Amino acid sequence: MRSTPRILVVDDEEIIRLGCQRILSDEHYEVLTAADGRAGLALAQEKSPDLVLVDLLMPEMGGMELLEAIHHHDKKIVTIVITGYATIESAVEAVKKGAFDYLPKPFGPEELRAAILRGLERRRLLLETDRLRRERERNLLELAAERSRTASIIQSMGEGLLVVNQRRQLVLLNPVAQKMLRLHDAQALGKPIEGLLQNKELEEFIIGAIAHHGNHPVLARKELPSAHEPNGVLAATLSPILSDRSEVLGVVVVLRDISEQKRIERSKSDFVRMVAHELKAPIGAIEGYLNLILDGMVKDDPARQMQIIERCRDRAAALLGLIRDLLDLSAIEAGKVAQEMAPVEVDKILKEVVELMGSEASTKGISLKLSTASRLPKVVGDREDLMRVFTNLVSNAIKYNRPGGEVTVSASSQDSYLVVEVKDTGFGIPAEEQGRIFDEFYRVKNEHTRKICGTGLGLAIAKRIVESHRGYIEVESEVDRGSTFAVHLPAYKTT
Amino acid sequence: MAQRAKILIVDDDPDYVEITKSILESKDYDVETAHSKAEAEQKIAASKPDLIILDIIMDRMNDGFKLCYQLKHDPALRSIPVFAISSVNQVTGFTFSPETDGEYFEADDFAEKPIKADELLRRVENLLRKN
Repeated sequence: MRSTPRILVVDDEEIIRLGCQRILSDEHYEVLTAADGRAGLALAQEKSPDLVLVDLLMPEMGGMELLEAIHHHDKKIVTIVITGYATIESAVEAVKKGAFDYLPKPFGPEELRAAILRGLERRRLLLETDRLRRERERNLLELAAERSRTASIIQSMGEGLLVVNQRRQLVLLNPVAQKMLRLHDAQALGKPIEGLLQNKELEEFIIGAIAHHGNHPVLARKELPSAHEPNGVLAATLSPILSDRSEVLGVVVVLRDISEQKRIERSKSDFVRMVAHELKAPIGAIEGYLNLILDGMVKDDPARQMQIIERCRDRAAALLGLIRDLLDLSAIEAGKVAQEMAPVEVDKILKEVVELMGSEASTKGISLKLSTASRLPKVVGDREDLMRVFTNLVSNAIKYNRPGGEVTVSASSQDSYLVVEVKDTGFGIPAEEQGRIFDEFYRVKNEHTRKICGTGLGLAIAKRIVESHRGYIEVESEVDRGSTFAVHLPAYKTT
Repeated sequence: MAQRAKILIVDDDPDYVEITKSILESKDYDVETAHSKAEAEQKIAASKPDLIILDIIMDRMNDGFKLCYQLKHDPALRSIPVFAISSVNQVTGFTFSPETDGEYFEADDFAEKPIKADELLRRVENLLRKN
């Protein structure tokens, strides 16, 4: 309500208007006056007074009609009827029309002041009630919006969310948790979690937290096997819901599927173990050989000593090769591959590779041929990287070949690709192993390959380089007939 | 004069075979070598050794386990002591041992690669003495 209440006096008798105005102004009220119902209604609508004194008998618009109109305009304006023709009937009717009080004329200043005070108190209560109602409505709206927002957040979370109350009943479950635990909220909500979650470890973890009294943890985290995915792992983070008296009312459980993260961790750990083993093998061999000499086990055989020293040198060279390949692999993993991309003529690279590998082939009595189609498209690539890929493939084709065998390197254009094939007449790769030969450290082991040195990383590196050039590599092979490795690289389109 | 004990080394790593062979020959053992499970089977059938030094991972991850199982389930060959020396635990991350893997891995002794020469000789001698 205003600090200076505004009062409107509507009466056709000027004396009443002036009298009321004087008395009420002395009381520090703001007083407005109107001489008839219409003017009074217009002022009431325009100025929204806190209280209106209404005469019943007026020209233009009578008091009853004015009461009705004022209340129609604003129910919170307090009206007091002032009339010289007071009757029970008119008083009852006035109250029905919304009048708060009824003051028969003539009235003295005290009566008027008392009526005004009561009316303004009524006005204060009406405004307060209205304020509270509006506040409650706004709060309800906010609450509804808040609930809707919270529900939306919970529904769209990437993590699974469960809430379990003190009686171990499931009270909330978002869609991700439903999917992880293969549950339907309609069937699960309100049910005890024992046996419901189909994950004994998770159930025990939650029950343990609910049962915990005293120094309960603020947060607990546990990794649990998924009951539904083979090798699946869930990370459950559990937060107790505490009352004001620090009693556990229930728990909020956030579930994250960390299966992929765990798989990567396992792969890394497997890789590190393989690297350690691959590094250890040649060093173990070198140490073993050196100990033979140092322990005097071959002291009477200089030729054998020389053989041992040569073998140590070969194993050391192989070890250096392995370390170089590992560093290359690491560089490729770090994205340091295909960095000098430019249009290159692959046939020129192949010519270089064949020339480079010529002596190695002739040492083994292997014929190495190059056959490229005319007018080959260029490819966009890193020349050094591509050189490395083809050198590795040709080197393998020679190494895993028979004396007197053949290696044919060819290049042709197929659709929008340039295809380089390295074909050999060697031992071939068993069908069941063809899918793994591009894996790190995977080497076909049989009587043919036993004495051939290799790091087991060449093809893994080649595959990564080809893929970083947006190409792909594939193999066709038959045991005892030979293998064909085909590298497909997108042809460079000149516009 | 006592007959020299015959030892068969079964391992696909030519260097390891060479080194082990030299160590054993320095103590006057009669040493045979095989580089694969198939070759070992042939050599065992041709002449029964007094001891087999066996690698596990050869052409296949479990060749050594398979050969050991075959030997220990063959009444004619089960008495041959098998000394498994392998990196299988380092490579696979598992911990295989005759104690934990019972019937599947009934080697008479087991050591991780690499094994020192004196340790190898001591354990070979023990196995031969027991037999």
